[in-house]
Amino acid sequence: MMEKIVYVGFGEYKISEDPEEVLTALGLGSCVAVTLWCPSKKIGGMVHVVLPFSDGHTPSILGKYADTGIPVLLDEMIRMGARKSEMIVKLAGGAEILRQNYPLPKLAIGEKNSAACEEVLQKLRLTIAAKDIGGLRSRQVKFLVKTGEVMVKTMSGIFSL
Amino acid sequence: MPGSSRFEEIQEKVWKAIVKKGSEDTSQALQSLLNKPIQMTSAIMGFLPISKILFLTGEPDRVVTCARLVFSGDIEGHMFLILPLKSWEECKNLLLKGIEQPAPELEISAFAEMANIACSFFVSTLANMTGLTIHFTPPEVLTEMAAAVFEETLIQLSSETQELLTIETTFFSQDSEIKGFFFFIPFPSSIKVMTQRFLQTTPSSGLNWRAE
Repeated sequence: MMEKIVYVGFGEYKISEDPEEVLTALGLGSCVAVTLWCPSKKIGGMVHVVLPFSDGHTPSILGKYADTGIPVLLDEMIRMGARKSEMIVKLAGGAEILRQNYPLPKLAIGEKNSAACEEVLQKLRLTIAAKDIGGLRSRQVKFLVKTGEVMVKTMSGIFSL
Repeated sequence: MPGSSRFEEIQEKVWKAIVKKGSEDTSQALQSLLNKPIQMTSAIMGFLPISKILFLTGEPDRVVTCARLVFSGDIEGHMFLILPLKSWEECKNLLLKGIEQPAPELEISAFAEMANIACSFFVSTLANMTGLTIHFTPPEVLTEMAAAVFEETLIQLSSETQELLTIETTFFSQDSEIKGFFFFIPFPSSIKVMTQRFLQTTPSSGLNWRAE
């Protein structure tokens, strides 16, 4: 079966029912990819979270913030028939790749993004099945819609989350 | 607005003139540093959607060594010098010739120096042609997947714009594996400032524009 790579860009979210599609987030440094998968309906979604909170504003790109991106992804998946009670949630990203040996203060965006995603998921009563967050290295995340498998690629290798 | 499209047309010409000279000077600087003939391709300049930035150096998951410099002053933005690992190995051998098993800190320092020189030449050309005051930070060096090195720039700018002006030149040496990229990404608010200043300081450019 041919894989169809679908890029989930900066602040975007994508939902798929196509078993051939692989939702892919590239170059995740401090950003976090959150994936939701409904096994019975085989519906999968990914949001590429860039920043933690929208501070009450409705952003033009809903997927950009954890507090707007994750709820909209969940709502749309439910509208498409996914069941919230079955949802398998995984997240990867939230690293701090810059300013490791640098005189500028660390921004800790990665840490804030990961914490915000976990907080939002908790508020939505979604349990995290697996996560690979933090650290000093970037990640590439691939989410196989057919199986719900999440593959994380780093400079040192690839593993299944 | 007719004035606006005329301005954009002139803006493009202005940038091309600046970039051409800046790239030539940068290539000269790298040539002297590496003691090797270095060619630079004509600069590619254009507005790119944020989603395309991650593909600027080709494969987004390719591991590269990168130096990022943040510039500020009259204009603001980020500059990047990016080398695929194989290319960096080659440059390293030239820069650290005679040193056996150099310490990682020394390698980072050599790359930072190379970026410093390349970027200084580009920035001084820019400053000379426009009269703008531009400062930049010391290079921040990292070895990472190519797409990741642009992330912070995109985070900073994604609330302002969905398109970025990028100036890209590829440099290479015909008798070695050296091939790399230089990117100059000004923030959107800086683009107009630069164009106007260039036209004020270079009346001989043959480009005439006044606000309508």
